Amino acid sequence: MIEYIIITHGSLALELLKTCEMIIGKQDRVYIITVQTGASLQNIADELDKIIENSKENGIIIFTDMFGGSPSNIAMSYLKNEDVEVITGVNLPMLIKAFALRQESESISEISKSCAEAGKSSIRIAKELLGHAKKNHI
Amino acid sequence: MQKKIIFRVDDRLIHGQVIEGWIKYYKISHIYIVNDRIYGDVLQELIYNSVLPDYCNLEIFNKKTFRTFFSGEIFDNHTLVLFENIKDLYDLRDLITEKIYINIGCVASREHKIEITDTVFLDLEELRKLSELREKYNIYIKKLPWDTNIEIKNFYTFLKEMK
Repeated sequence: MIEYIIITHGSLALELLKTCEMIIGKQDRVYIITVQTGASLQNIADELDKIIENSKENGIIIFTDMFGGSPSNIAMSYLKNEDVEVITGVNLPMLIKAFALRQESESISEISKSCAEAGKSSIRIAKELLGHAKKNHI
Repeated sequence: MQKKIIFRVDDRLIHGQVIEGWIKYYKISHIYIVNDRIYGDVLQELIYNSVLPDYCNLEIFNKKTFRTFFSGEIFDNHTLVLFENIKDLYDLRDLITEKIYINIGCVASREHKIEITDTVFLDLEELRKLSELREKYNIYIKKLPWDTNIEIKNFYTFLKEMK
């Protein structure tokens, strides 16, 4: 099974996982790294090294909160590793999709594409939906 | 800010605070990273380039190449020079002039460091170096352009207490 790491600013990663588990139940083979204010990036990189070295599974997907932020920048340093992919902009629908997909697929690239799609397509401006409905009705 | 060149110490180099804060606030068009560790690292350069706005041009130097480059360069545009630590800034202190705005933004917490702000933690050696620089230049300790500055003159009190 593909393993997941969620790494974010503050405690967002932990809360995202807890909320995800509230919806789809307890998950295993998922690691949380929180980057707190004042934290040393070297310590974060050491933590990532340890998880990636100990991974005996079929690869790792690292979810980060914001493209351009420190968690994302550190994670992207591992892209030289063929078994590692990084997806930025993690949100709840993306994570739910990720946990569901790894039961069915062992392809990092397939899962990554679907996760990115799920994350993007879940973002809607609600009034626009209302506008569409009205237009169609008329 | 009258000064067009910012020297910033930030151990995260380019990240959220730099992109959302400094680059946008001062409409920075040129960024220079001065770092012996990542100089020549193609992947790191790619990562940092990919997160910058289109109007921002990035170049990465080591201390030696930056010294040569900066000495002869005239800056017309707003420029941000990023150092990973206080030692690197101090090592290039001879390049600092009155035209440069010195900012200490992020220096990570480690053992035996004093918390100056929520993002700046300094040890005795770093305090000494900054205090020496402060003799000649203003130094602004803040993570974002609109934050309140921490006055570095007070550091002499710390230094006395730590002796």
